[in-house]
Amino acid sequence: MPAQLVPFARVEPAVPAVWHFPAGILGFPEVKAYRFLAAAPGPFRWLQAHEVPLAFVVVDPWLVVPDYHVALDASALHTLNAHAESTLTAVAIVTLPSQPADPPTVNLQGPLVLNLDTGLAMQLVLAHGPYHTRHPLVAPPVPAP
Amino acid sequence: MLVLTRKLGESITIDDRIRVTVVAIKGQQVKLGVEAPPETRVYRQEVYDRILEENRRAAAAQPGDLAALRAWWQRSQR
Repeated sequence: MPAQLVPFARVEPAVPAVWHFPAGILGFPEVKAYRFLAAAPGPFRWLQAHEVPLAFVVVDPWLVVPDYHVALDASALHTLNAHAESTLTAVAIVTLPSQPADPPTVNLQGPLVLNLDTGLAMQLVLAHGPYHTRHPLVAPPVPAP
Repeated sequence: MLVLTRKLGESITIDDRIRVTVVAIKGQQVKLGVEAPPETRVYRQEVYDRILEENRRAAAAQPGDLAALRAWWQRSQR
């Protein structure tokens, strides 16, 4: 069985600063190296490209959807050089609305999957499943005590 | 665009490494099988396009946006 993904917030202190995306991020295939900027207060982080002015705001998708689940196919495992014991996590890209009144959204259909053991990363494209590219960025309701 | 006519069960080979086979035909739907090396990424075009567009929108984020998002997030948690 391939490795399960661990929520980003849980492993963040152990996450390497520098990430190699062999295929880039969709739309930016020539940009292969990114780094996380130093942790800021709150759940949002900058994932900043090396050498070019390009950056994405990312968030732990499990903070938005606690039972968030993605399956990695053989091609993804190959790209990440991952095996059953690998420690993998994911972040989701946040999009700010063009209209200020609209909620920000989070792309749960194209998560960035990170292999903590190898520093390899890729954007997954989920063809099946319940997730969309514009999931409203709202904290899940706190269960009643 | 190169256009090829294939029958059910027939294939095309791309670059010596990728084989696409017509697996089933039912009305307007054609089922394709793709055999390719693991580093080859194969996407449904409409899903690929949607994620590409969303990435381009997200790449327009500005330095002040993190604080704005944090404020939004705190409000949404109440």
